[in-house]
Amino acid sequence: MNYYCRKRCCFKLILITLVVLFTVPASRAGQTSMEAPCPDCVDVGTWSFGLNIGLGIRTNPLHDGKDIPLILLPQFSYYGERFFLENLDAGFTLLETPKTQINMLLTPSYDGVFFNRWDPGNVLFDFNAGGGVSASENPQPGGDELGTDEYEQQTVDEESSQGDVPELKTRRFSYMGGFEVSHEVPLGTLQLSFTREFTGRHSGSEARFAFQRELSGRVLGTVGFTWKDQVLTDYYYGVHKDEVADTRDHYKPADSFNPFVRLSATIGQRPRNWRFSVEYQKLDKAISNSPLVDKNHVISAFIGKQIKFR
Amino acid sequence: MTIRCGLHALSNNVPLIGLGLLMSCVLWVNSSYANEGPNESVSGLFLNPKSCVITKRHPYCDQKISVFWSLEKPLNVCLFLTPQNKQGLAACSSDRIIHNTTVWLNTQEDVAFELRVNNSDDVLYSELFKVYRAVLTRRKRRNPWSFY
Repeated sequence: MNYYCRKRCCFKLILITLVVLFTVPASRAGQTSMEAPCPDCVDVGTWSFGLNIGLGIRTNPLHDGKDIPLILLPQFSYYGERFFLENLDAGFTLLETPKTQINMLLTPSYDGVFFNRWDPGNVLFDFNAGGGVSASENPQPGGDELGTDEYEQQTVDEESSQGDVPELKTRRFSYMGGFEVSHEVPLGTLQLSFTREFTGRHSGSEARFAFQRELSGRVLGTVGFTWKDQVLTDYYYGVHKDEVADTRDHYKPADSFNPFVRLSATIGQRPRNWRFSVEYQKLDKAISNSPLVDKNHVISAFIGKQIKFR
Repeated sequence: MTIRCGLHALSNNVPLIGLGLLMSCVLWVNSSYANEGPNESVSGLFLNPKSCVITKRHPYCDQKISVFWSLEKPLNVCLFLTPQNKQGLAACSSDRIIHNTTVWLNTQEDVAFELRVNNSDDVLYSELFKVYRAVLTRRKRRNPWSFY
């Protein structure tokens, strides 16, 4: 299957999910505004703090990468008249209408969470971690499994080449800056953002898209994707010539297109309600073919209590 | 007490319109009370305006208040304000049925206007000047992309 065929398959996956979402009757779509003029409004100049306590996991697609536990998920936000802060995202609202919002945005690149256990993007505390590192900080190309034929030669005999193979460079946490647009359509909410890394790590770019629809009173369905340009994909998932003893073993990925689908539900009344979310993200072969990676997907799931302090 | 004046209702991005909306809220609050103007045939203590709205940019209510009282019979009375000033005495009238005066307020809190009979603590009439705090609201960011 060639590269463009794979892309078409990803688009098909999204299209099928969109059709499913559109055909499920929406119980309250278009009625919310009649019940409450602005149900998603916040007071300007106030902080909001919350905490999700529960059980959850985010699988780590890296070789020897330990899955990331989701136990405590703190949440905070601040909204000024234009400025906003939402966990690790910060922005400035350029345009706000009842249906459309355009923001300048600073947001982390979430690929770092797989390489660094205490990456801010993990936004959690693991009671049992004891300061240990769960994610593979320096995964070796090929890990402990043989790769596919085309990458079989990249598998390194660890015993014989321990002294020859240079250490992989640390894939660091990075921040992106750009713009995002969100727009409410009769069937749900669309969001599109385009950002570029500005913290001097790689200067890669990323586009994020999501469409979210209320499937029933408390259940939301979301489909979307993340597109990472070649530079960003290469920074995190490439194996560079100075990281391998034999330069023929390097891996230079193309750009990557990673679709996802998510179901989430909220049960109960604020400020203490139950929250359930499960997300499946398909990794592009540009990523899953990397010698650093041994899975072609990331699954995130969380069930727990959502507590809002203020 | 708070009043919510939504910036999210803006149809475009001009901050002046937001200020205009806020001023509309202020005027609406004041006019709603101003319409209940003093009536000389009815005895009592009347304030105009009876309230104001403070904002983050204008944290003090710096306001001229027209005060009018009408008594059933001529009396020596004094107007006291709490907690506007320590003395509390704002104005007095001697042996009159009706009286007009003006009071300047610079406050962040409600102010009680009390009309007392001279040399006594008997309160004939009282009115509360309300200070409302305007809380601006805006639409929260929609971020369906995020798992959290």
